[in-house]
Amino acid sequence: MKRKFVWAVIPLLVLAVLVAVFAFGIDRDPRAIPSPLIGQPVPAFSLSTLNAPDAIVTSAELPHRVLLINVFASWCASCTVESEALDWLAKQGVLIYGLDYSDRRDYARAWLEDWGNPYEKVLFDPQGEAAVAFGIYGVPETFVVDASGRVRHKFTGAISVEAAKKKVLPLVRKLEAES
Amino acid sequence: MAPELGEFALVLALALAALQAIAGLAGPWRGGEKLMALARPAAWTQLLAVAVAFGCLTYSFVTTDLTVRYVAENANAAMPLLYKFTGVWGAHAGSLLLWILILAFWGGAVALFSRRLPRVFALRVIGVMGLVSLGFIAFSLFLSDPFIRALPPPPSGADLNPILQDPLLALHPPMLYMGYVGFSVAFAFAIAAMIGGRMDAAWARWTRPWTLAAWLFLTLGITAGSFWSYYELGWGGWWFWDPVENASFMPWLVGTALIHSLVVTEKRGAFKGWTALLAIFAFSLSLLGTFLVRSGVLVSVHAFAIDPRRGIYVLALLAVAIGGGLALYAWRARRLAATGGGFGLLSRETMIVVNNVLLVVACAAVLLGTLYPLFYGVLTGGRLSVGPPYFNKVFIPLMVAMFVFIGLAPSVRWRRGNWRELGRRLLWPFVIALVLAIIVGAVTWNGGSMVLVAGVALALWIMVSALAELARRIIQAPAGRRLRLSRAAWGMTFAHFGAGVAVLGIVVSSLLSSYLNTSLTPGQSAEVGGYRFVFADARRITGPNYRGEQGVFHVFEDGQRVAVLRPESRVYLQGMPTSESSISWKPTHDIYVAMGQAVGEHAWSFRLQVRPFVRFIWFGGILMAFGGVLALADPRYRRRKTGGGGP
Repeated sequence: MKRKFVWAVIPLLVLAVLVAVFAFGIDRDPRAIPSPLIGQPVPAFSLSTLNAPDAIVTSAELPHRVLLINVFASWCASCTVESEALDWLAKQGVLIYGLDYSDRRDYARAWLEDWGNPYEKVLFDPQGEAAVAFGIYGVPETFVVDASGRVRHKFTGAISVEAAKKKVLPLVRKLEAES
Repeated sequence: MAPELGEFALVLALALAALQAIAGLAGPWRGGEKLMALARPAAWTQLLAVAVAFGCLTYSFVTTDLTVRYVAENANAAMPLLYKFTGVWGAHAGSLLLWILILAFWGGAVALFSRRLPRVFALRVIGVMGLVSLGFIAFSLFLSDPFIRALPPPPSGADLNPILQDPLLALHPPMLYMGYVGFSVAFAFAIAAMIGGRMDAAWARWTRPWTLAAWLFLTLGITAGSFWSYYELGWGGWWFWDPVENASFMPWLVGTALIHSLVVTEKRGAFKGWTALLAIFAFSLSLLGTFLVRSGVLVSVHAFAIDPRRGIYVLALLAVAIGGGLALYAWRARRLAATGGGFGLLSRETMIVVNNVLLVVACAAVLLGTLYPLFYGVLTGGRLSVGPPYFNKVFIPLMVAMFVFIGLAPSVRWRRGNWRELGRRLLWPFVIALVLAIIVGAVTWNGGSMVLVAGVALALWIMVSALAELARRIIQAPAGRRLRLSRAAWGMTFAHFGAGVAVLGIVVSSLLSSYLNTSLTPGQSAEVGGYRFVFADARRITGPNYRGEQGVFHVFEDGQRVAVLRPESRVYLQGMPTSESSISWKPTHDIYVAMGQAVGEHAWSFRLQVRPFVRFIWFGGILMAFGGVLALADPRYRRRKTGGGGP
């Protein structure tokens, strides 16, 4: 009888272990998959800008300083949420490049008028060529590029104002101090 | 107005679920006659209230009321009407409400069909169902309220995830939830029996129809999901070992084990403790699936938006429900000591033990593979993913053993079998299966292999032995009653035969399919699996909420045109590209073209496939579910004398 009781408790113990692991696992963001681009140079691209269809910007022409490349689109609802944080970052003097992904020029221009334009330049990528090179799988995404033109960090999803203050700006300042 | 009404109805449902739990559980304990009389009406009115809430949310979707945040996030005016209905459960909050509705439905059904059961026992079952409802309604109201308004409303709604805009997907989640949630009934029966401290053959007979009903819905749901991923996801796979697929598959495996062990408990009074444990596990795994899908601890194509508070709530719910069940089990296990007679090494009981062990081990293997990335991450901080190679390696040998025994088991007698008799009964099925498999191997020798012959032999073994056993039972029945064989026996035959059909489909389609990924411009062609695919033309298309291109393929066999296929590559309003594959259904195989992204000015990427026997997989699933329907129709569950409780 005693042995039988021991067996009966085992399922309960297994459950306790499982629940403990889940409780620890719950805070981990499964989507925070490190981008294979981390530590690599910015992928080569050659795109027109949103306002000047004839002006081509290539990856080689990026300025040699710390900057953010923010992937957005006028059809992206979370990008409207993010615009406040980006405006704030721009006001702190952070250089932000936009990558307008899978979009139309007229829509994107109207969108920037509505929600504000924190971007130094907006690269226009209607076919998603550069987006593929960057490994975009959801919009918005934001890449942090250091002064030597290497990708140092990737933020997936909309950046909140709080995250901009606590994570993005400190990271930018740290990278600026490095160079 | 509708959202407020829905909110109110849901609050009301919360109170009614609480009443149902108190009346059902505390009523018998405190002996309050008036209180006990409230349990059933509480269950019914709870169902009514939840149905009103669900109806209100549906109304908001159909009228595209964008002031409701959940609607604005998942619907827009351009969406076809059908998807406004199915969009209700397209995301977290609404699918949770569907879950609650189905739970209330099962609760109401139990309240309706349990009147012939011993009163106190039935009340406890209803009470446990109310407790589970309470947990989920509170989850919806406090952490994922679908009725919250967002003012001012956005100018236009977002869109339902385009890959979910499919008629079959209208069916998939409700079926799956009917199965998942249906196991809550078996769970409630086990808990009620353990509270009462009595668990016997009658208990097993009451539990069986409910378990069968849940199981058959789950079978259909998984089959529908698999078929959907075959034609919608565009690469012709039908099972991906995705965490969320696994989450539905694990309760199915344990539920299948439960169906079988219930037979032993009913017929022989044995395995009581084990059966109770399986009943707890089946529902636990359903809850675990819910947790995995909603907490976002695992990466999956199905996972809903991540909100850690929701994850913690479901985890707490899971810990309380399963922990409570298992603690009760630990406390009462001694009373559930086996009273059934002994049995020999060769006996139906042993066969069902083998069945249960294999199914539970298979489930444990799937659970391990699904959770391993999480364990690994928590313990080491690293990341990895466990893919199909692990699952195939572990799962296939277990299933091969399982399928050998499926053929054997029904021919073995209860208590003490006879080796010689077994050999006599199964010699011919074995020979027939083997000869047919060798013929198949010879016919397909070009692409075939020993693995193919073995796999086909296994599938045929299951089918032929199921038919042989049915034939034997019909012949041995007294004359005049031959076709009145019990429906349960017919059900078993269909289910086992269906398993064989599915295995045949899996083996042949896995080993003999041919495919080619290529990019083509109009006018070009490619050769796959004996067919010539000519890419004739591409044209622009515009749908209600998408635009895209349609390719036209002419498929030739020996110079004869045998099919015209029109795959599409769509981009939905919200910007997500999808591929609508086009399939020609030939009697023995599918000709399948999926159109990918444009790769140049006039070139697109295509996946061309010829997949023999692949439809047998889902046909087998449907046969299995039909077997469940037949077994459920067995009149003994409705006989007054035996206290039937079947719907």
